[in-house]
Amino acid sequence: MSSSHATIGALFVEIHRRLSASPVMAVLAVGVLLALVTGGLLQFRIGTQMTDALPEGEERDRMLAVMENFKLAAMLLIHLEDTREEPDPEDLVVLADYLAAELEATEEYRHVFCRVEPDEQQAIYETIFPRRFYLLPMEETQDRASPEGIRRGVSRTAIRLLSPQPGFAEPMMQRDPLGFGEAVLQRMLAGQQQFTVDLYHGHFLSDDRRHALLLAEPLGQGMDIRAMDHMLKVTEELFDRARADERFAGLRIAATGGPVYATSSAGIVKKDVRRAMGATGIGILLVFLLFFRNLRVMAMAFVPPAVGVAAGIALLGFSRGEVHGLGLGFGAAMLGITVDYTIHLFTRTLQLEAELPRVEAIRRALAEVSPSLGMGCLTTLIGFGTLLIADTQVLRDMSTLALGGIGCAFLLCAIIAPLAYRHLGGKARNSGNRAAGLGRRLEAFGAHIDRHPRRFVAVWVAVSVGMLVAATGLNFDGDIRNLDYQPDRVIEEDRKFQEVFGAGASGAMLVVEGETLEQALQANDQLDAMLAQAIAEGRLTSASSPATLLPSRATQLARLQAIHGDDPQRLYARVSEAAVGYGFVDGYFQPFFDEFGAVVEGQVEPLEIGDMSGTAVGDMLERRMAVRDGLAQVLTLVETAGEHSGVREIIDEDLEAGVFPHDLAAEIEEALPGTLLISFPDLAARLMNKVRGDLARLAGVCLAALALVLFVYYRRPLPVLFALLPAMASFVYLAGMLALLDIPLNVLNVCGVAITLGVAIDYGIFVVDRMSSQETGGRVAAMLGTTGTGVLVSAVTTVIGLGTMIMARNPAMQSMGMVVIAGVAGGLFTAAIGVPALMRTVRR
Amino acid sequence: MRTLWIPLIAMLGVATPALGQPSSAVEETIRQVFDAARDIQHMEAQFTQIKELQAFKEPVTSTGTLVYDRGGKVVWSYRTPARMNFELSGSTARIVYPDLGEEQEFNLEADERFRPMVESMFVWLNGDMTTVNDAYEMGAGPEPRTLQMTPRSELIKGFVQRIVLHYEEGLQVDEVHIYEPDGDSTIIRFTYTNVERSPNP
Repeated sequence: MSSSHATIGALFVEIHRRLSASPVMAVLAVGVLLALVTGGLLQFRIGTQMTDALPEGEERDRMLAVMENFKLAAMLLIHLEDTREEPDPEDLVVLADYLAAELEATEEYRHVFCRVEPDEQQAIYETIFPRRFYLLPMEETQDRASPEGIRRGVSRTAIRLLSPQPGFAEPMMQRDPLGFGEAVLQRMLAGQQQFTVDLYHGHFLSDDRRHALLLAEPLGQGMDIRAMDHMLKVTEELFDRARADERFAGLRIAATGGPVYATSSAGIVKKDVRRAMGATGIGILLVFLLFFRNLRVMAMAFVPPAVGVAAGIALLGFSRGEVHGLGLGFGAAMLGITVDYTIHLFTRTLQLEAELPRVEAIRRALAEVSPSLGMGCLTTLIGFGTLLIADTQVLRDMSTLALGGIGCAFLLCAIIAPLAYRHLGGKARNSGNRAAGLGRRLEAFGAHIDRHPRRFVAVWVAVSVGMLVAATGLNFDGDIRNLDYQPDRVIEEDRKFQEVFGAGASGAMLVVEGETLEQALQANDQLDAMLAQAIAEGRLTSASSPATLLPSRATQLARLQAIHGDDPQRLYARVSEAAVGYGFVDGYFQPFFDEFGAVVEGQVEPLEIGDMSGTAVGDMLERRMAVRDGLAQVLTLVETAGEHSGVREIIDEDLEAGVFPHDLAAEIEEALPGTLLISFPDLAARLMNKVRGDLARLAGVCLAALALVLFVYYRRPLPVLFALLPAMASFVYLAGMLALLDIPLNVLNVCGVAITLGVAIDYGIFVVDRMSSQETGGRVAAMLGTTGTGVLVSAVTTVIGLGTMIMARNPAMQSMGMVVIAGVAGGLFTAAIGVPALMRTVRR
Repeated sequence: MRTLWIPLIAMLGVATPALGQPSSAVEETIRQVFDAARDIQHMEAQFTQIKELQAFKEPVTSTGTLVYDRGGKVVWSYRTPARMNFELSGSTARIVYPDLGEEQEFNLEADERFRPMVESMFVWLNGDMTTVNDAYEMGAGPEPRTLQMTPRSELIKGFVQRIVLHYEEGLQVDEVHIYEPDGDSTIIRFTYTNVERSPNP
C-alpha cells in the first residue's frame, strides 16, 4: 500500500473527526451548496440544436452562416389535400388564399407563397423577354445564332404560322425568329422549380388537382427552436380554425419542413431526457432498496450523487445558461456513476459495522475506501476533463456537467454522508447482510482465481484478444441525420408531401463567394458550367442554379457578343436569306433586327437582380444570394444521381486532400477555391475524419494524464499498469461489442469512451488498492469479498443509469447508452477477473 | 399560343342557320344546333387550309386530319407542307413539330386571363350555349348557310376580328373562315370521314 493512500485516508478521517465535533459547519456548508445549486438550476434551459453536436471551427461557422443567410431548412411547407370523393380545386384555392392571408396576418411569417399573380407573370415576361439575348447558355446561344440555327428558327416560324389562327403569337414570332425568348422562359420554368407543381388559377396545385402547396417563410431566426415552436403553435391554431370552418370540410391541412423537423426532434430529446432521468432515479433507488434494505441508509447513499448531478447542471446553468438535451441525458447517466462512491463507502461501512461500533466502522471505512474513491474521482475527472478541449459544444457541456457533478458528489459522499450516517443513521440493523451475502459469494469465486490464476488470465486474454479482433470491424458513422429521431407521423407527412410535390430538398448545396455580387455571379457561372457538364455525364441528376436566370453581367455581355460576332449586319443578312427561302415577304423580321440592334447598342442593359424585385422569381433569386459585410454568396442546390455516384461518391473521398484527380468536388475546389460544399455525406466524411482525430487526441491526453496521476499515487509502474488495464480493456471491449452488434461509433457516442475510461479506471484503482492492502494479503478472494461487492453493485447502477438511455428514442442517446454499457461490462470483467488474476500470477 | 386554337376547335361540329340578328327563330335554330353538337361523341375529318398572310408572299395551302372526342380531346394533325400536331386533352395542350424535333406543352389553367375563354369554348362544344353566348356575339353570316361570330372581349378581339362558319344541309360545319384585325385570313374546309353521335333519347 502506498504512502499516498494512507495520507489521503488519514485526511478524510481527520475531516470527519473535526466536523463530527462541530456539525454546524457541515450543515452550513450543505445549506450554501443547496442554495447555489437551486440558483443554478433556475438559470438553465434545455438546448436541442443538433448543430451543437458538430465540431466547431471555420467550416461549421461557414455552414451555419450559409444556413442562416439563405434561411435553409426554415421554410414551412403546407400541404392541403382534398380528401373528398369528388374533389373541387376551387375549394383548395379558396383555402390556400385564406391560409396565406391569415398566416401573414400572424406576423410570424415574412411571406406566404401560394400563387403567382397574373400581373406578376406579365412583369416577369416583360423583364425577361427584352433581355433574352443575354440569358441562354453560351453553347445554345451560339447554336441558335449559327447558320443552321437561323435556318431552323425561320423554319419553325413558318410552320407555326400555318396554325389556324396565329395572329396572337405572330408579333412575337417576328421579334424572335431564333426562339431565344421561348427557350429562356422554358429554362426558367424547368430549372427553378424546387417542387413539382402545376399552376391552377396561378396557384400551386398538384397535377391531379387534389393537393395544394403553400410555402411559408418565417420571419424569425431560422435556428431558434423556441421561436419555431411558438410559430408552429400559432400556425396550428390557425389550422384548427380552418378545419372547423364548414367551407373547408373534407380538406386536410398539414405542415412539414425544417421547422417541423426541428421542433419535433427537440420535443423528443426533451421527453427522452425526462424519461431517462426519472427511470435512472427509480432504478437506482430500487437497487439501493434491495441492496441496503434500509431507507435511511438508502437516502444517505442516494442524496450525494443526486445533489452532485444537480450541482453539475447548476454549474452549466451559471456558466452557459443552457444545457444541451443530450448533455442532460448524460447527466442522468452520471447518476449511475456517482452513486458508486456511496455504494463503496456504505458497503464497507456496513460490513465493518457488523464487527465494530459505528463510529469506528465509519473511520475504518473512510481510511480504507476514501483514497480509492478519491483517486477514482480524480481519474474520472481527468477523463471527463479532457473533453473540455473537444471542439464540440455538447461534449464540453458533458465535461462541465461531469466535473461539477462528480466532484461535488465525491465530496458529499466522503465528507457529508459519513457524518449524516453517524448522526442520523438510526439504530444499527442487519443492513450489511445483503452486502455480506454477496461478498461471500464473490469471495468463493475469488478463491477459484487464487487457486488457478493462470487459467483465469488465459480466459481473460482469450476474450480480450477476441474483442480486439472484433474491434477491427468497428464502423464510424458521421451522418448527423442518424443522431436525430422523428416520430412516425412526421415521417409519414414528409413522405406524403414528397410523393405529391417531389423532394424539394437537395442532395448538396454549393456556395460560391466573391467580394461583390458580380464576382460571386461570375464564379457561379463557372460552377454552373461544371455542374452542367457533370449532369451530362450522369454524375449528377440536376442542379438548380441562379445562373439559369441571372448570369453575371460579364457572361451576359459575352453571350450577346457571341450572337452577332461584332457584325450584326451579317446576322440580319442570314436571317433575311433564310426568310426568303421560306416564302416570307421582305422585311418580315425587321422587328427582330430593330430590337436586337437596340440591345447591341446598349439600350437594353443586362439583367440585374433588382429587375425582378417583387415577383416570385425575384424572391427566389434573392433567397439564393446574400451580400453581407463585403462578402457576396450565391447558392446552388444539387440533386445527386444516387447512392453511389455524383457528389455523394465524390464526397466520400477527402475533398481537401483531393485524393482522386477526376473527382468533381476536387475539380470544383481547384477551379473555384473556397467554394463551400454542404451535404450530409460530405459533412459525415469530414466529421468522421475529425472524430477519429479527436478520439486519438482525447484518448492520448486522457491516458497520459491518468498514467501520470497514478504513478504519483502508486510510485511504481506495475500497479499503474494494472490500474489502467480495465480502462484500456473497456475501450477494446466496447469497440469489439459494438462491431459485433453492428453499432457504429458516431460523433456523440464517442464520448462514451471517456465515460467508460473514467468508470473503468475507478474499478482498476479499487481492485489494485484492495489487492495491495494488508487486509487482503494479495488474495483475490479477500478483495472480491469486500471491494468486489462495491465494484459489482456500482457497475449495476452504472448500467441502470445508462440503460435508461437505451430506451430513448433519440438514436444519439440510445447509442451512447449502448457504448457505455459495453465499455463498463469490459471494464468490470477485466477489473474483477483479469487484473486480480494477473496480480496473483505476478505475485506467485 | 395555346389559346389561338380554341375558337376554331369550338366551332367544330357546330352549325347554325344563317341569321342576321338573333331572333326567336334564330335562337331556336341555335338551340337545335347546340343540341346536335351535344350529340357528337366522336368525329374524324380531313381538312384543307388556305392561309393568306401578310407574312408570306403567296397564300399557303396545308392539309391534314382532325379527330375530336367528346370529353375535351382534340387531335389536329398537319401533314403538308410541314408536319405539326396539336393535341388538346383536358386543360393540357401539346404541340409537336416532328420535322423540327420539338415539342411544347401548355397548361391552359396556368393563365388566368385566357381560362374563361377556353372554358367557354369547351362548354360550347358540349352544347352549353349560354357560356358561348357570353364569349361571342352570334349572328347571320354574309352568305346563305353561314353564321358569323364576333368576339365580345377586347382580349380576343385583339387577334380575331370575326369568324364565319359555313354549314351544309345537315347542320354540319364544312368550312370555317377566320378574319384577323391585320387583314390576315384563314379558310379551312372539312371533309368528314366519320361522325358518331349518341343515340337519341
